[in-house]
Amino acid sequence: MRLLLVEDDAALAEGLGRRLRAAGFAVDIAGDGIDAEHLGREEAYDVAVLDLGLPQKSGVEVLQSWRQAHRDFPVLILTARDAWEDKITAFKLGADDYVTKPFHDEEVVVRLQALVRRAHGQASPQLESHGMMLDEGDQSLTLADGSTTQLTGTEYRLLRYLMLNEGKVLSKSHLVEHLYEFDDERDSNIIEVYINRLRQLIGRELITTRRGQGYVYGKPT
Amino acid sequence: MTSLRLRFSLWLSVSLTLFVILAWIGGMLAARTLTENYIHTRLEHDAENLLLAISFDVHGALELDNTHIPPIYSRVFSGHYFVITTPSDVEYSRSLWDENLAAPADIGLDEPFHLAGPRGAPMLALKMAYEKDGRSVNILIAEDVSEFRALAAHFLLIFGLTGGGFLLLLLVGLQGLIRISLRPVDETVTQLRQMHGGERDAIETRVPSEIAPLTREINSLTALFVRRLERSRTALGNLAHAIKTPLALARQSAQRLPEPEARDLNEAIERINNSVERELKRARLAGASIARHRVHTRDLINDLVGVLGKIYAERGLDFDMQVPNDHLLVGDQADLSELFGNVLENACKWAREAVRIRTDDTDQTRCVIIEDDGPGLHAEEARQLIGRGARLDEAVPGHGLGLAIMQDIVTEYGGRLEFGRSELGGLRVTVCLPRPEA
Repeated sequence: MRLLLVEDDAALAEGLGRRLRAAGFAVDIAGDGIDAEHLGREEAYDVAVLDLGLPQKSGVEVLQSWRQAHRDFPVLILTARDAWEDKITAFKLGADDYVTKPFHDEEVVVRLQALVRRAHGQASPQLESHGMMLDEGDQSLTLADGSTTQLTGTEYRLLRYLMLNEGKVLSKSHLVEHLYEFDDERDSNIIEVYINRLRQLIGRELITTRRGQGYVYGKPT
Repeated sequence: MTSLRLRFSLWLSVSLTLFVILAWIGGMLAARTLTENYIHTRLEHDAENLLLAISFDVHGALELDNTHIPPIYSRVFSGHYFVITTPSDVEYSRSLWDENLAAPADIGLDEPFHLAGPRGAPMLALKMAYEKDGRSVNILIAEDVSEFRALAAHFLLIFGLTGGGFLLLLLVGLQGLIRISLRPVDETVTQLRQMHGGERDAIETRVPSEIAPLTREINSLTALFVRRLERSRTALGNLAHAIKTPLALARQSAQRLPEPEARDLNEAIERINNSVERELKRARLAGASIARHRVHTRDLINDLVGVLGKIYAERGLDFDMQVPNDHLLVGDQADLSELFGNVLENACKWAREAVRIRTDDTDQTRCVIIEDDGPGLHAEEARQLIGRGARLDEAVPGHGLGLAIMQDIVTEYGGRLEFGRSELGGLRVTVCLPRPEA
């Protein structure tokens, strides 16, 4: 899950970014409104955390600009301004959730996970698919036979992305875009390695290869 | 309570009535003086004519030459009479017939006086003393003034009637005049009411010069208030940002501390945050100021439900909206958003499946009732909530700050906040705001 964190306080952004990365998000940080607007319009994010009080361009304008460019990833507003008028304005422009400062990191993580699940049409509070259950808390996978495996960070991120996008053809470059941060070394061959590891864990038939196109998660019909 | 209209009409009516009465009295006096002067002159002339008619024979007896006596003195009871007295004779005019005419003893000469004449007729009389051919001659001459009196009375009646009619017309016209002159004041007052009711932002300044400074001042005060409110709200927003971002940072750091210290730090952060938030929210209130707007209750609730529906999306709450399209509240948009945002959020927090919003107006108030089907408060908690009234504090878990600010806003607007048990099972919050003055 690629996440854009827009927060002008560098220390706060750093701390929250660390917590979000630990929760399996690939986090890019923008410190001002102009950067935020640009990144949100150009990069393929799955979710964004947006502070409203930003230098150079207000959070409201940034949100407006994203929505005008048809960037419809869910946006969680993170702000010190907690007047209902501000909330109404932000939601009318297309915000999806609202957390006020000072926040608990944990609350932000839980709300973001819920936002992502909802954006992918998952109503249940846990990620469940084909008898397996992915625990977003400790990043462990419980298989249909009841056995539980602890996943590595990349395994967890890849599996979660696949489970949320069941039935869709996902190219290697698409997966790289959504699993790695802007500054990461991007090597699409690494995806193949992790796909193979997941196949060993959950069974080969759940991840199909479409030659020249990419991978599809789910039972072949 | 003094009324300009009452003061004007009282003063003008009283002074106009006095003026007409004085004019009438003046007319009466003038008519009397004029007629009496006229009769006086005529009596003098007649007396002089009589003197010409007087002569004495060799024995000193009085003789009258009738050719010099105006004929009116010869017609019986003509109203014109004389008595000529010489040391030896007394001669009465023929008109007196068998009546007598005598002046009171103390009457001076050449000074008109009133006396009762033949058959009681009112007379104006004159007593003159002359000397002719070495003999003294006294002439008492009188004229009946009853006809003059009747004429004068008639004149005064006509004058009185026209004067009275004129006065009535004037008074009626005056009321109209006062109404017309005070119309700009009435209009300004109406516009002020409309401002109060949120129907207009400013009042007309093209008004008569007497009240123009007032209307301009009201407009500039209103504009100043609006600018100040915007400025202070922006400043408060910035302040919130400036305080809460470091608080968020402190909370992050607390996560890296071992247990008792982490808890202490978190408690301190919580305390700072609560008091800052309460004060900031209170400072942001516009209150029942002159700069009000009409807020469509339905639109406002819809906006808030749009926000809350997303925030509580996982709960799948059903919002049962029974608010008429034309239901209006009057106040500051931000204040009302804050008020109903808090009430609705509370309902969403506690609701199991449904939140119901309906209205219930009375003659004096516009009320919005928000209910949920949650577990509701225990009877004791509810009683405490209701009983504490304005002193609601943060002690009630789950309600806290939101409830306190709700109470602040409702108090600012002179409204009412009531808690009760809903038939849905949860809490029923009734928010009543006074109707704008009609």
